Amino acid sequence: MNEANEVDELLHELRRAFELLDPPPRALFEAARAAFAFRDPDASLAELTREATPAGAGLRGSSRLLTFTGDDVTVELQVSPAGGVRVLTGRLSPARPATLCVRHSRGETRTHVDESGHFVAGDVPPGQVMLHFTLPDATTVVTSWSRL
Amino acid sequence: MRSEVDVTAGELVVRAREGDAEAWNALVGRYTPMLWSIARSRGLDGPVAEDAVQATWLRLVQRIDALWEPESVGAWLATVCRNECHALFSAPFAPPPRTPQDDADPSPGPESRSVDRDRLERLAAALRAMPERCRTMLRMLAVSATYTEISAALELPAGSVGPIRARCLRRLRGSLDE
Repeated sequence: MNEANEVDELLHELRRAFELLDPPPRALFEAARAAFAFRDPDASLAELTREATPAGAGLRGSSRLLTFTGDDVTVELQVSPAGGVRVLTGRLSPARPATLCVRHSRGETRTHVDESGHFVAGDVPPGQVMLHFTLPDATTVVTSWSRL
Repeated sequence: MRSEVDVTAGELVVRAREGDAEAWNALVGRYTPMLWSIARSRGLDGPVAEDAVQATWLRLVQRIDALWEPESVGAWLATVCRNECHALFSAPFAPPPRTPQDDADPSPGPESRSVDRDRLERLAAALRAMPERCRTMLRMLAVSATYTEISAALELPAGSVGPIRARCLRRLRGSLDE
């Protein structure tokens, strides 16, 4: 058997080994397929531009401050652990009322942004989270997904 | 009619941009094994590895319209996944707890009863004992990742993938012959 065939055979065996012993979980494919439902090509994307953790960073009970910046929009977010979940308090600027849908691993949590741009969303499970704002003129702003 | 395997990654990206869920599903089917290989070779536990892979797909959903080279989506995904794995390692915040049993496959396939299972287990153990770079590279090659994707996942210059691949293969064969 020549060298190339031998390598192909070894790689083929490796593929079978991992298909058998450590395959990607089926639920992972399902979750990845389902992620397409979040596609919103018309939304303006606000990216995470700053993250700060007050003194005691990483200790349980400390909150994090995240800033997302997009075209003409800023979202400041404070994430506070509360039991096994997170409470999100934040501000949308420029300030304007909006509806907010917080998307997370268990579905979504809906709330409102008040006239001064402030909002609160409780009971958000830890994991990947995204904020979807619908503004008064029906345009939408989304934050990049972040691990909260 | 062409099957999805004949369609280039770039075409799938273009179709997904137009809202074609089948094209998206084909991308997921094509690249999830590669992303899983990257996360697992990095040493992430099952649920944490899943988190890294899912985060990678969520990023693609948001950025698919902005990809400069749709044909290079595999390398783009490999880079994002590498960064997600890195973030999970350095994050002081534990990913969501999961029941380990969640992922257990209740029905082992017919292959698990086959006579060469010992050989495959030995192979997997040999690979796990290798340095991370070899482990990642060989596992990615096993799921047909391209050199560009491997160089993205490992932050290697494209030209050094070939030589390192040869060394890693030699090493693997060596440890199997022991």
